[in-house]
Amino acid sequence: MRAGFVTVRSRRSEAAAGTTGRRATAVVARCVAAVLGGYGCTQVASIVVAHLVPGSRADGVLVATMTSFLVYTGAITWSFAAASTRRAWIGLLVPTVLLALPAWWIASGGGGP
Amino acid sequence: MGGFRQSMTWLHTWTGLLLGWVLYFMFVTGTIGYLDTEVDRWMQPEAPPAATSVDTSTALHLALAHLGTEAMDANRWFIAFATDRNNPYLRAFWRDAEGNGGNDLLDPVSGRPFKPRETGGGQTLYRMHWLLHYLPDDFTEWLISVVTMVLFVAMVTGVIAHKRIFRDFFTFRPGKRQRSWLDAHNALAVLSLPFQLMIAYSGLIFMMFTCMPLIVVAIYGAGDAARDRFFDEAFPGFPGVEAAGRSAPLVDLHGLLATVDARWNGESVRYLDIYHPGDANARVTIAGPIGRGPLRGSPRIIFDGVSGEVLEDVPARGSVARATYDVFLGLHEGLFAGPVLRMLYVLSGLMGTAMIATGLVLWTVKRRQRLEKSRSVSVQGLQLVERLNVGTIVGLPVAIAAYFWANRLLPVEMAGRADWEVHAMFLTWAALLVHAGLRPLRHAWLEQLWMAGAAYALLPVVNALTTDRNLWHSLVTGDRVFAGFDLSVLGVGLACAVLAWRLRGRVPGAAASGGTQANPSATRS
Repeated sequence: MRAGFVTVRSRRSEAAAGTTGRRATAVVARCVAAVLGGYGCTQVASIVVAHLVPGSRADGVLVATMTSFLVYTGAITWSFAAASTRRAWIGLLVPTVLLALPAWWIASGGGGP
Repeated sequence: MGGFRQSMTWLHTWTGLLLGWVLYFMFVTGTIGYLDTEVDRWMQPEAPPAATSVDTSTALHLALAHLGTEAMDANRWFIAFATDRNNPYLRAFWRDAEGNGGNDLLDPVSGRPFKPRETGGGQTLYRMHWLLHYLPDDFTEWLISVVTMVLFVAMVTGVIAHKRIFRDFFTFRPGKRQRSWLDAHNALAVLSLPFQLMIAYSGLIFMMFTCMPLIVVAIYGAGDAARDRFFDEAFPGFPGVEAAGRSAPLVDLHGLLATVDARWNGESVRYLDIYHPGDANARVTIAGPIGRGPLRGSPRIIFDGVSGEVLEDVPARGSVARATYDVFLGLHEGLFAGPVLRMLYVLSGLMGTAMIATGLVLWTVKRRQRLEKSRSVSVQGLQLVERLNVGTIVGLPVAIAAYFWANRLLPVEMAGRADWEVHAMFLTWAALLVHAGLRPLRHAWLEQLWMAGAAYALLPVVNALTTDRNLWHSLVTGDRVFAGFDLSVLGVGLACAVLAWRLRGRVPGAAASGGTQANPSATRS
């Protein structure tokens, strides 16, 4: 017996040898989801965080920008962990759309001075 | 469950490989960066021993005399006192409106500038840590941001992947070669995990206004004016006033020093930053000590440069958010660290470097094993990675040794000397990458390790032959910086040589089969 994850991955790559193209497409789709979808999701979430943090505006921006990397990391991890590419995208798009509205309201000055 | 860990392993493997070499470069130069001023001093052997306990008021007097003769037309004077290892010499810096100026180190007694050889020093190596070299800053800031993000993701996913590996470890008996590399990779990563996570995350915070700019835009609005407004609010205490164009005598700076001494209980002043000296709108910023903890900020007082009135008193510690930001940056830079903690920083940096290196080798060993069992693996891709591994993991350290050699061997009066030190480094690196591509892989590893051994172990000899500050002299006179540098490179050189010696016969059949097996020290862990 060999280390579990090696065995699993090797078998999988053998099984998928005939469908390399489809597999590559799936990888690219997940990468795009992680990098771009994750970034978009991070931006809107962080804008809302910046608004909600108590203290001055500058403090809100500092906190939200610092924590944005944690959100982004979570989004990237999710993109590759989700059971399917479809689910990965849904998991990113739903919070993005939900948060885009308040983010847009904050950016257009609705959140105060 | 298995699928999740598996995809984390996949993500860890490929993001790690994709940017592993850049990360390796960043870890090596960043680790040296923790000894930047020590390297500076070794690379300027003409500079006198540092005297960090000179009276501030005498030093100010000397610096002002120098600036008064050299820099009458400058619109900015900057005087940094010799406080500690971070700034070992009294330094006078100036700039005029066209951006021309100077930066002189001053003798603490005579006040005369000493003109050591032109060199990139430790600062150039340290700046490569985030600016790389030969590339525009805008581009490298983005590249480094992406690479650091990948490092952070690779670490988080590595932790997730590791959990399964850990379990497998006891359940099965994996192949020895791979297990040894995995073992080393994991041990290094886990042992220094808190440091590596801190470094990656705080590294991102350094870059955050470059790669996450939209949050500022959303709250403050788009454009430079809005951005400046944010920076003024978040980072107060930087005078942005224009010159009035009317001359007025500069306030007595000794008087201002007395004022801050009273406020800061005589704690050492780090620097004076004087904008528009001799103008009616002159501003003097005096910065206090950096503190004994990682909180990076230091207190600053801004004075009207004519009346001496206090305009702004910025405490070392701002709001909780700002202090958090400062602590992360302070932890990353480690400027507060004393000798023992500094050694721990260097050690952690070396462990990070080794973590990246073992990860890169592990990638190839795993695929080489699979190839031997004739599974489908791209041979060309594997060979390329194997070659790049040798030329980077060993080639880069050799190139850095070449940088130090160039410092001692290039003519002292040579024009563009500092640039050529760097060229020597990158030319050496390029040569070693070519070497790694041309030689059978096992030979490439061994030969480059021997080269690294010689390049580092002989540096004290080169130093002894080209300066009068040889290792014996340094030890006898208690010159810690020179003795420390010479002994460190000697240690690195011997370590490389020992490694090469122990690896010489370890790889079975590599030479006979065309030598494509990369596997030094596979059976050691």
